[in-house]
Amino acid sequence: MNWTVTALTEFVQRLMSKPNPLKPAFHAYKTGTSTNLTGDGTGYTVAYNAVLYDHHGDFDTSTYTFTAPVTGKYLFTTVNYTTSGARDHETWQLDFMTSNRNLLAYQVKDSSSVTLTEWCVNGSLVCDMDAGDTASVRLVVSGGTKDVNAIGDYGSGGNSCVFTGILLT
Amino acid sequence: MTEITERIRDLTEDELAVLADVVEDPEAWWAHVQAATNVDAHSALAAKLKRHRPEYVKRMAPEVARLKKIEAGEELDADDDTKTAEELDADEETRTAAAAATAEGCLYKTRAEREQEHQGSTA
Repeated sequence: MNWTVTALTEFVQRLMSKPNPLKPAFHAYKTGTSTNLTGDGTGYTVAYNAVLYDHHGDFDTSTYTFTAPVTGKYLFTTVNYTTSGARDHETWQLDFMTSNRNLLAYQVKDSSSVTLTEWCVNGSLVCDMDAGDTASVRLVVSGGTKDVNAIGDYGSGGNSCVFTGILLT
Repeated sequence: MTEITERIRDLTEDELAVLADVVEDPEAWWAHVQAATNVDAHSALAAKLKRHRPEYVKRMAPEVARLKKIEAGEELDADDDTKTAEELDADEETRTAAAAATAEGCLYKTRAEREQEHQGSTA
């Protein structure tokens, strides 16, 4: 087959525009509401029990854990809609728990001075992972009543507790 | 992701020591890697050890050097005061680090290894 420059360019562009099914990328989310998870310092591993996509089959919806298939730098992002009954909590903290290290992604202190009972706790980080390493998301709310809830659905079919990741390099 | 329950093998002391420098629970990490179906356990372990061993050997180098002095019958320097000679000689972590350094291709050898070499060369 004889290729013209134009045909070859179009062919390469078509190839590059397709998502690479072997490149690790996932979007996990939580369904339903879980109640009284933290608030008194208890660590809660956010239960992302479903996936929108998981290109490489790396996310385990029973342990809520991503396992890196190859060594590299991974971008993780998370959004978690939480509510609480009381307003007595002092600290809200979100961590990415990876095998090599635990990374603080979000923290608010002295939240009792803020009269809010709903928090959307977000975070994103690039993490250094080896093949076989794991990553999960932990929420710790402390200084008050154990009445913090994780809300998986906020209506209209939307997901409000999400954990995504992709291999960057 | 489905998981298998068969355990391939236990970690050696050397592997445990290097992994413990990186991960919180080496046994749990190894158990997970063996159970995971999206990675090859042996390759993952070898790659992780290869990547992190230099940092571990570097961190333990001062202690290994002191152990080497003791075994060679040399006097410790004045600033070698973190542990007594007896404590260092009995320190498992230092001995494991020495083994790790040897595994990495460093020149450090244990007393037994030197004696064995000496006997071999004079036989």
